[in-house]
Amino acid sequence: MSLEMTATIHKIAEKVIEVRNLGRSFGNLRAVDNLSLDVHRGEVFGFLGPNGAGKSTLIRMLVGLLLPSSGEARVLGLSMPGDADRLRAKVGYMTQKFSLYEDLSVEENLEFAAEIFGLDRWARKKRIAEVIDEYGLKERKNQRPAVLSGGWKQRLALAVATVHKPELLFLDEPTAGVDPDSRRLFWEKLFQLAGEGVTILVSTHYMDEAVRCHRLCMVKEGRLGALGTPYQLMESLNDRIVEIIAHPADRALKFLSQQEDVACATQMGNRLHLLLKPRVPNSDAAAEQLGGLLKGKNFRVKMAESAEPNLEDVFMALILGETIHATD
Amino acid sequence: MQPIKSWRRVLSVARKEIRQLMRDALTMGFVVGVPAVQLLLFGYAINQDVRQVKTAVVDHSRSFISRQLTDQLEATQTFRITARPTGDEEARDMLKRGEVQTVVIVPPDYTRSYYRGRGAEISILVDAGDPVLARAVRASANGLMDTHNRRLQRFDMESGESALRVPRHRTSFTTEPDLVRQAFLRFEVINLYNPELRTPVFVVPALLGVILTTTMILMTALSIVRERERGSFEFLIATPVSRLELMAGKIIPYIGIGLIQIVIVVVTGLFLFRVPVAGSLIDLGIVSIFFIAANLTLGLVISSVTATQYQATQLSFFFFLPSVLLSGFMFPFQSMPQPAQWLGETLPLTHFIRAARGILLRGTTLMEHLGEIGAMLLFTLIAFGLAARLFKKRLD
Repeated sequence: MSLEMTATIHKIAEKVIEVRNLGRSFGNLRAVDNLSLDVHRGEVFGFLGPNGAGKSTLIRMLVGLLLPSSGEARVLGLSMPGDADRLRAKVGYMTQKFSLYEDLSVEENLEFAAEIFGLDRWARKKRIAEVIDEYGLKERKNQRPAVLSGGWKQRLALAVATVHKPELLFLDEPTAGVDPDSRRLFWEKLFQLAGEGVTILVSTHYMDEAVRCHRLCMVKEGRLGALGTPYQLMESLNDRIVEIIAHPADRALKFLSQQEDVACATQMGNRLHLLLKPRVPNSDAAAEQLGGLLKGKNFRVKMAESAEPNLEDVFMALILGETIHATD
Repeated sequence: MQPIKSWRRVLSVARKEIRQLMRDALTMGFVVGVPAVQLLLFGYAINQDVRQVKTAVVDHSRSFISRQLTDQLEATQTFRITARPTGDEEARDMLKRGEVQTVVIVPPDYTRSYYRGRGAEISILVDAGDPVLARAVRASANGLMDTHNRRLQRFDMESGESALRVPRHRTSFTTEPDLVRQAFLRFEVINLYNPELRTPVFVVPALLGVILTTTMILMTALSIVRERERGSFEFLIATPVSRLELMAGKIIPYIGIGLIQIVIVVVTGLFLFRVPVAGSLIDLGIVSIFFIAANLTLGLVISSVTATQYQATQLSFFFFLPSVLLSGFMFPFQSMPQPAQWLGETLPLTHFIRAARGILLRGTTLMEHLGEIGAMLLFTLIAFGLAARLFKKRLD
């Protein structure tokens, strides 16, 4: 199934989260500013933005932990924050900071969560055994989270967030500061849950994670910067990327970033990855022109050609103030 | 407000709380240690019975009779003779330097006057910097003189004048000098309930309240604020637990802890200070539960309005001080100025102390303390209403 088709299917799919003109201010700071978006059932919806972009504030409003200053939000058909109490049992929430009890063991934390989510004794016993098995916590069930590594803590937090089998999961930067292998395992788990029909809203600032989401929303200073599938977002920058190999690379990079057509230049190994400004009409022509300029300045140019955009380019364009229009 | 829908959730919060408490060695030490240490400190140190006052005796008479007198002074246990300087000046210097608190001066003609029945004069100089001590010394000296006078009276019925005189010796240290006359009218004061006037008997029931106030308020306040500080509050409030369920679950373990503390204090009080138990311990337990509830709900209020453990501790102490000062624990309630009494009436500790002293010392029953129970209940309801209003399952 192509990504475009997936997107079309999502358009007719059930809306699990509807956000309309939502805003939240803390004093003079507008943490979330007039934001609107929909999340559909069964998708892994990513939420990408720099620190302080308002990701946590938005998630907290959707879980009913913060009151919006303006606008409205409906989650699983319940309006927030009014119906927050009715929503709780149906959603799981994994906080950005580890928020389980450090002085209770892994098993006791799971037990407490299961109890408080209302599982009766037998269901509890069965479910906890299931979760411990599923998340590989068996050998660590008597340990306290205080002695667990970051990766294991996150795994426990996810186990606790799913102990009551929620249909919607909110994950606030679940893998921040976790090693790549643990992150990979964590995401495998997420897709497994998504496969079981759980809708997942996850915030991150890792590009490699964002690219794996079904759909992605980029936020900057509380405002929606871009919304679409990762593919759509990257496609919006087609014909805007040039890659050059030139020596000496560091001076070439400096020279290129001063050129008028170049919005942003990044060195990746010996390649210089350039994002062109939106007004530049053609990347092939620009590659040729920039290569010529470098040669004129006595750089040894090995390669200068247009290239494929990546998600980081989208992110950079957003940071530089562009509005991204995802192509349908 | 969501009612308590699930007692399972309440109990799971309570069980979690107890587990955490059991693992927190410092807090558990607090639970057991505070009552024990405070009781020992207050019981022994805050002792208003003045005893063993360091005394210098200047005996100019150096006779058998004067020797007998100083022995009798020491026998009252109020005085402890630590020095026998030869001159008055030397003795006064000792008083000034604080080496002794009292100086007893026996004049050279003491023996002669004594035998002639003309009234022997003895000066007692007291460092009145501590009024309690000064009053006690005076009372003790008066007592001794009374006994003496009575004895002399038997021999000198016809003389009609006082047999023992204390002259007016004014120095900056002296209390009002005593001029002891033969008493024609005497009031006899009979001490009921605590005939020996032992301070611990009076202090222990009140101390029960003070200990519960400090630990109960602080522990509930901290138990919620700690969750806020450690971040688990965000996890907790994103679960279906309702505010009432959460508050109830947080309170229940501490009721048990309060009762444990009562047992510790009462048992220690009984064995160490021989505090009488005139009334029923069950009555005391029932009154205590009302009192514990009042303090716990206040702790909830404090935890609702504070964000850090530091703030919660500060605010708790803000409440402790008036509690200790205005409840009748430190000063007799009746002798406080009217506004202070009004303020005192609003404190649960005031009512608890009244009821606890009544039950333990005078053997009153619950029925006689309905007023106090009502006051504590009212406080609890108001505090709970306030906590329910202020306690938010939100982060803003």
